[in-house]
Amino acid sequence: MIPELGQLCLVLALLVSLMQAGVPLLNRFNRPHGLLHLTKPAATAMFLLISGAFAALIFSYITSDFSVLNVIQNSHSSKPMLYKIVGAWGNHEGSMLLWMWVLATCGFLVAMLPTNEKELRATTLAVLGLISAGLLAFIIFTSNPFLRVFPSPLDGEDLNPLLQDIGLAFHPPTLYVGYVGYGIVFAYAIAGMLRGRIDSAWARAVHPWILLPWVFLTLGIGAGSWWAYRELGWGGWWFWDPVENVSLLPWLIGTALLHSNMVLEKRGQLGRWVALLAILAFTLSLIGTFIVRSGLLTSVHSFASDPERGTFILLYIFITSGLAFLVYEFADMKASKPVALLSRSGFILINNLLLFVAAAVVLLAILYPLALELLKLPSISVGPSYFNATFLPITAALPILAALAPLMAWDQTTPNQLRTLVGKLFPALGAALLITLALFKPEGALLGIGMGMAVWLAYGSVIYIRRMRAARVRLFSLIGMRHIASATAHVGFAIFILGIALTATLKQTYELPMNAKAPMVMGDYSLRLIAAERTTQDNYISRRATLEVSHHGQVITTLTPELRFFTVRNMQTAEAALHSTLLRDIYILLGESTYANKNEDSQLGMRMYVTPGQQFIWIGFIMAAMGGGLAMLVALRRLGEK
Amino acid sequence: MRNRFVVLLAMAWLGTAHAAGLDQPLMNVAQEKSAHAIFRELRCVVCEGQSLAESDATLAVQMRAHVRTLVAQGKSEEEILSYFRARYGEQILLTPPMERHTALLWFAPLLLLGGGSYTVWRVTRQKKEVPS
Amino acid sequence: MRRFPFLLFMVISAALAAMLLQSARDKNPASIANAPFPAITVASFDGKTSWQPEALKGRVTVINFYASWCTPCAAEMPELAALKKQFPKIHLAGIAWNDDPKTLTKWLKANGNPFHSSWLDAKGDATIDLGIKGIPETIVVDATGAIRFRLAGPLTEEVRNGEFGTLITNLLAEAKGAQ
Repeated sequence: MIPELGQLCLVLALLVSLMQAGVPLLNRFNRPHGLLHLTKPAATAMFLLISGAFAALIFSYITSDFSVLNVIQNSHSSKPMLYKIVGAWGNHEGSMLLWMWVLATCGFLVAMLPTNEKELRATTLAVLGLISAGLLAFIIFTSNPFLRVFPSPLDGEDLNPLLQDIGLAFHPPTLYVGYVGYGIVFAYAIAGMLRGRIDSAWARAVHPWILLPWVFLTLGIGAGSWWAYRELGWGGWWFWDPVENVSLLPWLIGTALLHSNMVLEKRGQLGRWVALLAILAFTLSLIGTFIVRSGLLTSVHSFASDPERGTFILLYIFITSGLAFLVYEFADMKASKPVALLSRSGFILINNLLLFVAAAVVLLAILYPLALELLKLPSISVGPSYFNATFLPITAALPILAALAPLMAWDQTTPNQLRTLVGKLFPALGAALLITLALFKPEGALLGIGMGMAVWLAYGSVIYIRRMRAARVRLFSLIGMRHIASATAHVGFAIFILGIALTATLKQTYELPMNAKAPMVMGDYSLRLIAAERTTQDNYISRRATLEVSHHGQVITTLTPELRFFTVRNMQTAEAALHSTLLRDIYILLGESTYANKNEDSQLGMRMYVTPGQQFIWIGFIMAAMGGGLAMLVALRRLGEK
Repeated sequence: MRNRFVVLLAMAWLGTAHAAGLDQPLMNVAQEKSAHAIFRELRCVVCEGQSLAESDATLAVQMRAHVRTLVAQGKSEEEILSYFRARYGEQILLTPPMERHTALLWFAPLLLLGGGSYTVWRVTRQKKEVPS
Repeated sequence: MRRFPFLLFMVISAALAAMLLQSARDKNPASIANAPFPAITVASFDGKTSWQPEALKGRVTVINFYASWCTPCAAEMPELAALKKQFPKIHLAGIAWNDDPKTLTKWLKANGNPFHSSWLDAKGDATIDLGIKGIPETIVVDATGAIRFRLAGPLTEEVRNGEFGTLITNLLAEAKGAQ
């Protein structure tokens, strides 16, 4: 019954969304105020219906209803309850429904939040109705989670063990708020273009919606990287995997967008550019979704490798974004004062240029191997060294600009003023560089540059806050909070850069076979094997070693790395043991001898990574997200302001 | 990433007929270093998200042993990369080679940066209001 | 200038559509290579006999890479037996990767040993020399010692009765004609 109710909710939602879009857009030529009366209730109804559908799916998982095909394929009665629920969206159909639910929730919030721009909002909701209708049609007709199987089997097929991790509970929903959030911005942009106005008032109304997806994408990418670090067992956190890259694209454009939207709000400039970025952000989110689900790329992320579904998504993107780009081409938008290069606005423009080129490079790297295959040329792999040679230098200029821009005037700064600013910051950079070169001889250069940039940016943010205080701006006023938000995000970025510099240059790796008789010495650390055991769990066989870790003779911790063999799926995963302090991470993995019969105990070996500065990377992510979140709250608070 | 591999030869293998735990490094430190440089240039064919240096898949362990053998035989990095490329295809190389069909990939960033900079320059030079 | 984003988007969409169409067509796991079969180093289970490359000449050889711990390999065994029955003139060689003789002997007994000759690639040298990424994989070598077909993944009835079977028939005819 419940699955049928879920199905019904989806169909009703489709009808509502068509109404939400059709009636206002058709009506607009007769009775402009007709718009307002329909979109709010329609958005509310959408939210309730999609919530109902999603609840129905989760209910089916909780009760292990194996008459539902989706539950059969992605669950198992022996799975812990948390992972049963999480499994609801750990598959293609469920995740599309989650996508839809986030969209419906955001639409509801758009309808409910205060605004001075009632017509803009109504038009936006109408556009959202169209976007929703397309997605719902896709879900109902090609990716329906409520398909039933009779007679129902006794049990399900196990979920991929790599996905049985707490990170999975947070990673997809977080990212989806990011992808879908840009859909809201997209709708606002189209609405603005249809009304012929993308100006300061538009920027203020949309700013919270520009920040929301950005914060969630930052957290989502951070969570995904953190998961990869803990789960994939090689001590790294980013591999430039095409699916990772796909999440980076909207983030880069989103960062550009949130900065240029500030220029739009404060100075009324860059309106067309902001509109273009808004369209681009959502288009990239959609293309990303397409690439992952179409079978074009295989990775640990790929859901259904189904070209038929891929065709539908591509068609959807073609229509949605194609129309948007057409609207952009023909929209009649007011002109604005040009931006001067030596100014805060100008530096933000340069920032946008760098982010845009960086995104273009990443997109090229994703599509190039596919294009070569298409042209019957020998296909290639684009590995980290390509990105280190291209992406890094381009984005390395960003922190340099980010320290200076907040200290510059919006409209025009003289070269002398700029020189003074550089002079203020340079000592900090110089000191950092010299100290690093002195302390870390061989790695000195690279590490020094990283340290220098981090210090440059952090110090710049400090000066920014000091200036604000000197200008008697109260810390807890809205303006003050905005300053703090920006400083927090930039300092987060600086700490992130520091983390990258440290982990890239100072990481140490040790490998040894397991020795039960004597402590294993690796650099300044020594490991003593206390116990090695083999047990059988819920759905896997576990082989675990308990190791006592000492540093310079002092025992610091006991770690238990593990190997898990999942019987149903015939897969083995390595559970790393991690000991993190602020300054460094210890990461231990078990490996096994080349002949591995999983039913017998084989010779075990060990690999240990000592990574200074690893935690700075996570701190950087969190601080950047916090800064963005604070800015979003401020923007929300200002929504009702005149 | 620069990894400093510090590998100690353990005294007591837990005596079995098979190779112990993880890899057996080359005695010659310079050769071992060359081998590691090569590991970082090859993609693990089993776990495609990792380089040969990082992967613990059995085939990867065996491939590393194979690379070490070739290094010990005096083969150059280029020869060894060609060896794997001939057998596994171009996709096993992590750094795209600089050849005619990959030239665009390598030059694109510069071209984009150049084109973009020019546009920004043009846009910021304008003095009057423009419909852009 | 304003039209540029639209046009670029159209180009990229078209490219994505083309890639999608092509990947849909390219689902065939088999690939054909005409290179000579390399001189691999594998030994029999007891270590006493070595693989002789010359043995490939004059007969059609089907080489199957497998292991006792590999589930699809076990599922494939009946198909290989059926292949042997269908084409009695071929030589079916099994090369086990990353395995040990005792376990293999037991496993082959339990699953039915379809192979004419059994070999062990303990260190993976042959596997790597052939550019193999996973098991099972089946390689067809003609009477001159050249690789004519590679099948990544288990042999299924469908494939056996399809192009695989046709190829073997042709190669057997070739071999006979050369005699």
